[in-house]
Amino acid sequence: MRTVEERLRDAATETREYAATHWPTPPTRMVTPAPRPRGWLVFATAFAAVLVVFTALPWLLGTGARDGASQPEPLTTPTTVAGPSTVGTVPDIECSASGAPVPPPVDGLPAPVAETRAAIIEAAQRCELDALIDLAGPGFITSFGGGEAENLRSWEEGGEGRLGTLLRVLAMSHAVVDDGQGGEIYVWPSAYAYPSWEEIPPEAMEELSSLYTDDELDLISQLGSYGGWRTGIDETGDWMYFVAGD
Amino acid sequence: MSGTFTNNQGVTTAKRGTTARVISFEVFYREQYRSLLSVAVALTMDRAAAEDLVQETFISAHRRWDRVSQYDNPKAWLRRVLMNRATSRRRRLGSEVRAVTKVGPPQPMGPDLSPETSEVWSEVGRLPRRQRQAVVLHYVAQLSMNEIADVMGCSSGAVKSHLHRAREALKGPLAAWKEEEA
Repeated sequence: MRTVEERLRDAATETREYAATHWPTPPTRMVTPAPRPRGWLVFATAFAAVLVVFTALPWLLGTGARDGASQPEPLTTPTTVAGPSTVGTVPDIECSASGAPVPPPVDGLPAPVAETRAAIIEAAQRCELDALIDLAGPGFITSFGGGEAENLRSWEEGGEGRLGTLLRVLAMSHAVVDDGQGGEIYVWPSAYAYPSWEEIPPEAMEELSSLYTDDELDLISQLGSYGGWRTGIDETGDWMYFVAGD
Repeated sequence: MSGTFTNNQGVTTAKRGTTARVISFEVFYREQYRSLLSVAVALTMDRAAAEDLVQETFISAHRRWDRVSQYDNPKAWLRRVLMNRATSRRRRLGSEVRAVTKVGPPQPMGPDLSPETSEVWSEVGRLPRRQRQAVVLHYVAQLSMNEIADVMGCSSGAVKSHLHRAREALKGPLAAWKEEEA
């Protein structure tokens, strides 16, 4: 009778041989993403467009200052355009994450969790919805009704963006909770890990104040435990959810 | 080069001051595809699912290739993503199977492996997740202890422990199957 070691090795050999008969299928879905517009080019285009509108508007309205007596006010930088991109620091465009604090690195996280957290932060900071949605695992939810990662985009487009909330949540302390299947989930904020509202320590409560007003916290407290925005990454680095409510 | 591959996005150079290193996504894809597929087959025992997992994993790599290509070990990153996706798939399948127990679970489209090899991976699939991953990375991907530790985000000692426990756990089921066949 062969040993377990031998059987595993034989099975592995056969599996590798099986895979070797398969030449890579054409990566048809790997379409080259459109090149990101350069910040200065976007700025120049937007500036020119705004300049044209401001110049032409008086003429179109019949109140044009053909004599040049009325000049448009100096233009400011369009709010949707920032300066040249600096990877990981300055976003090319603005979104709900603009101005949100940058969560600092956290010591002691397993490497896969730390890597996913850092990638989420970077994508959110840069308002890169595609990259952010791509980070979400297949089972990722944004609501308990089955909300998908695409909600991150629709919220932004609907003016109720949550990327800023996501960054503020990830800036808080975290806790490790059991996933009920023998695994662990790293959850931000740590307040979520306490079974009752009363057990949340002052420092964790203080963190929540960066996200909610006192009135909002009063409302959340009526749930009995923290049920506000939270996000979880499992120990393998799989981003599992970004939800609120229960 | 196929039009579906990137050009300058798939090419990068190493950090300043080090020997220039050029990594093409196309080359990376072709070098790693089969190895990754064999790992996915062992983890899923479903040819279509394995191909999908591999494809999705490469799509992830492709989207952030400018960053991934500069990692110290892009191969480890690739395998970690595959493992995560395989875990997510199992979790999702578990929910789906529970939801459709009345009509029976979906039947996977098995790869053309021998019954014995299929049985080995079925048994490996019943191991705890970390043990399962260590076994597949060690035997199928033929990674060293340190490389497996890099993929799994743990120490090489922990990898050895997972492997030891996996072999112990497999002794019974694999021996029993052999006796039945004999």
